[in-house]
Amino acid sequence: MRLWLRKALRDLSARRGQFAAVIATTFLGVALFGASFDAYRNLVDSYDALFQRTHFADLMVSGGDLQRYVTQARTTPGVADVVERNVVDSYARVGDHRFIVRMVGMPAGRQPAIDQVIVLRGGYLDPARTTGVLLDQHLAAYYHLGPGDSLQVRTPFGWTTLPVVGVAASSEYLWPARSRQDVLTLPQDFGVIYVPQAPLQLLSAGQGRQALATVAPGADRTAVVGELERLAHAAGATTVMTRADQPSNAALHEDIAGFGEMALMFPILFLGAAAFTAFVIISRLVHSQRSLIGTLRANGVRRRAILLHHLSLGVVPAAVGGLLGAVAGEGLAIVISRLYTGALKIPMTVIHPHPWVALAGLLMALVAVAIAALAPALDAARVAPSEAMRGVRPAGGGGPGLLERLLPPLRRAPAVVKLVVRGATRNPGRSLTTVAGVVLALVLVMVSLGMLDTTKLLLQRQFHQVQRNDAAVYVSGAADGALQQQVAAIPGVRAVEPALQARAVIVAPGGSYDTALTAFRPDTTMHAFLRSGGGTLALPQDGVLLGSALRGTLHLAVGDAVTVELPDLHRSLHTKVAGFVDEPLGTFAYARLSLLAGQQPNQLLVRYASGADPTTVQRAIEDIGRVVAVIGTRNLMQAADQLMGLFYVIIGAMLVFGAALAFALIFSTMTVSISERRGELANLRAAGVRQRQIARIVTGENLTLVLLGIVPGLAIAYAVAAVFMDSFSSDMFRFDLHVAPLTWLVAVASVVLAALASQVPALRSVARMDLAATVRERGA
Amino acid sequence: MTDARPAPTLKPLGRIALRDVAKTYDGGAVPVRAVRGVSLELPAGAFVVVLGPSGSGKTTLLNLIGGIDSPSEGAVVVDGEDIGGYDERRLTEYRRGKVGFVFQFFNLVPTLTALENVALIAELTGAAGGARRMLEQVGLGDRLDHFPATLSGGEQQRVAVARALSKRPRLLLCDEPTGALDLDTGRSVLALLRRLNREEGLTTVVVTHNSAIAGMADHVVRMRSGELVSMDAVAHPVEAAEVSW
Repeated sequence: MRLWLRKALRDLSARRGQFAAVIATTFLGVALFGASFDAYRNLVDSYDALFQRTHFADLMVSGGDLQRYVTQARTTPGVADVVERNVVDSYARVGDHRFIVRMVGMPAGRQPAIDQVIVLRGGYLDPARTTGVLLDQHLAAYYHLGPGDSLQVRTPFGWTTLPVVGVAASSEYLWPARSRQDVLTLPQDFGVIYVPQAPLQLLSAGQGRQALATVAPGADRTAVVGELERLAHAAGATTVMTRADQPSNAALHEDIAGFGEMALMFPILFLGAAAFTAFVIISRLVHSQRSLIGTLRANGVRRRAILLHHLSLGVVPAAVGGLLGAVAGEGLAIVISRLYTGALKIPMTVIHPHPWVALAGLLMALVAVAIAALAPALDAARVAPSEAMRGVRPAGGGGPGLLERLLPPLRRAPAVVKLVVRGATRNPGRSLTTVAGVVLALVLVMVSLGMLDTTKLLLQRQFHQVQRNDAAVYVSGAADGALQQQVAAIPGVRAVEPALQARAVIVAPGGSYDTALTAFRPDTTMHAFLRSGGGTLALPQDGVLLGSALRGTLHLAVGDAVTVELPDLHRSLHTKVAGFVDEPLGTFAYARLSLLAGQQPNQLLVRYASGADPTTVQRAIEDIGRVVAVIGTRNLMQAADQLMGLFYVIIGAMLVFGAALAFALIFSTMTVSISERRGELANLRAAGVRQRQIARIVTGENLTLVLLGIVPGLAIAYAVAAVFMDSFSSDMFRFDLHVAPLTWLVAVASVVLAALASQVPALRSVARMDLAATVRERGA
Repeated sequence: MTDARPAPTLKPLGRIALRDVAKTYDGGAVPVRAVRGVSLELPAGAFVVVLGPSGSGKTTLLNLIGGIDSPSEGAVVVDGEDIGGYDERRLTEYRRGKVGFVFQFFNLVPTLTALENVALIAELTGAAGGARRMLEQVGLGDRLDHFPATLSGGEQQRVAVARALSKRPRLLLCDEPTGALDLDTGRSVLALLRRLNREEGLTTVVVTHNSAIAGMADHVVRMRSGELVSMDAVAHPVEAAEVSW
């Protein structure tokens, strides 16, 4: 048995480059799985701990007969707490900067029972200082504000100065999203402050009233929330938002859900590659050792021993790579978790060891590689003792190959050309594995590059094709013609249009959806309404255009009747679906201004002249008395980029790993392919054929196979990338796979380069081989 | 690949002389001295058989003459030049221009026909060609388009001989050319080698452990344990058909 083990070790050692590829790919697969899944678990745990600490609301309700709802909710079994508060949007000023501010009412002197904050600096709201406010950490960080500073907020009494008593973090605004549809907000454009509830209630004159509820520990959360939702709807509530739909939570959930998906998908690819590599190497090993195996069988060695021996050739490197990967994955998970919570300013980082994740990764690797090794191991176990006398079967038979049948002129080509052409397809098994290696490598590269392209295009499409305005101007009162003229007269402004934006609830028989409705002029040039499948839609005379996600979410079709409730405008529209728009970010509703007859526009959309300095023009617009804030779309694009930042880092890392894997994969198939032909190549060398001629022949054969793999590889890679991107799509982000022309070229070039580079070690070994020994070997 | 030109007459290689040649391999803890202190001269155009049991150093000797190995000590002088001092590039050129090899295992390219296998070497070494004629010469004129898998062992070895000759070598080195063949096939291959030697004046060295073959040689070199035991001229070489083992 010790000799058996020694043989296994020497077989591994003799092909150390190839088995190193199995170890490397297994390591990467298990490390990626451990790192991403553990980090994913840590992030989920961090959120859960924070939600628990801050008593994050399970349900938020507003509108309708709120008092009735609150009374009923408080007596509903399983409900822990119900609190009321006001949340009011206004405008704030810090120095020259103006932005939209959200004032969240909190009881002074004590934390609320629900949606508490974690005070990071300074103190909590003091009942003795009725104007003192807490700043959300994102706002404080952007404007470098802290306790002792102040900011001005627009109230019914004009601009009011509010002193800052502290800086706080909350579960509600971990990601400072303005609404579920407006998750891309920058701290310079939107900020949150926590203000004493009593004065806010007075200032808001009953506006922005909300009721928050939490479910008691141990109660059936789904059932209790369901009952509360029923009560809210019965009380005529206009907004019923579960924790899952809460904007910040939904945005972050999208982010870490994507993380969780990648935690599975990429390791599957990597472990698939490891299994494939093991399959290729062990298959070829068995092929080259058939006479030896036959001799062992002739000498009475049992099939089971041969089976286990060959299985061990896959399992041992997988175990080595898997163990190293499991350890590395645990370490990486801690780093990623801290980086993530740090980048998103999550005040609590929970890091738990998850040994089962490491164990699961290791087991997945072992199972994947063992399954891959099983076929060649069974093949080895079935070798008949009589094969001991046959020597090595030639790697492939004769006859014109597929290419010659397809291209008959090749039959008249010189022998060297035929050698290349037939060599590429002489052994269907070997050719297929090389082609499959190329396909897998392309998949890995294209998935990563495709994700980057798609994300880039998503942002380009949203901010250049769909939203064509450079800025949105928020005003106090109506955005009337006089104001429009004032803005249009500012140097650097090329076009101005009025628009009306309001929170909207789309109600259909299939359910309701909380979003925003924007109404434009019929001939608007500030927004393009892209139709699914290409082309644009015009704003309909009657009816609304809806984001295409609602087709499935609310089971709607063009022509269906819908109700658009506009809580802030205190009106409802009974209209029809005039069409669906295909937009990358968010799911919104659009209509003509005329549909909201009697309602004044509440913002202006502005496009700057080419060459105008956006900051200068923005400042000039802000100087107009009735303008309270100007939000530039360029900033929003930056916000989107920021949101995607971590995504880019992960994809970048995957791309590097993918390229390394592509190299390892092609390296193993190429080296196996070359090592099988050492006898032939040695004969050529003995006959005086120069090394570079042999290199050209081998390269020609390998490149023929690579090219054969590229065509199906690109198609398969595109399909896999599309599935990947689709898995990230939601009503908030729509990822339709887009692959830039350059990406196709880069993917092909990188695989060809990997193929060229990966044959270098094998060619060097051919150059260095002992001709005298090789030409004498029966199995050479 | 086809050819109508007459085969040029081969110019025999000049004298081959080995002077105090030794070859030591680094065999791990104990170096292996495969050849030690061998000095001999092979006449131009001769048919030489190198005899010896397994491990006697006969193949190493062949490899040293053929330039696929270099001596650790001594000189291998071919046509007045010591090829023992050649680097890999010059050795390649030497083999390319002057030497043809035939090995026990034919190592034909399985995806090429007999004709293509022979033509391949001519193409790659820039030789004059004559693949078809070579195959006709070795008696395979009717098997040109057959792939190795459909040829018998003897036929494959004939293709290997034709392949070695296709680049018009001046020295033909054969390592156990009948080792993988039955008696009749082996005889026919030997007859072929002898005929080519006589007709083309091709210096031919055949390495074998089969002492029966010695009778057909002009000169017999005997080796044992890496040392030259004897080198004798054969007064009346027999024909291949008379050889038996």
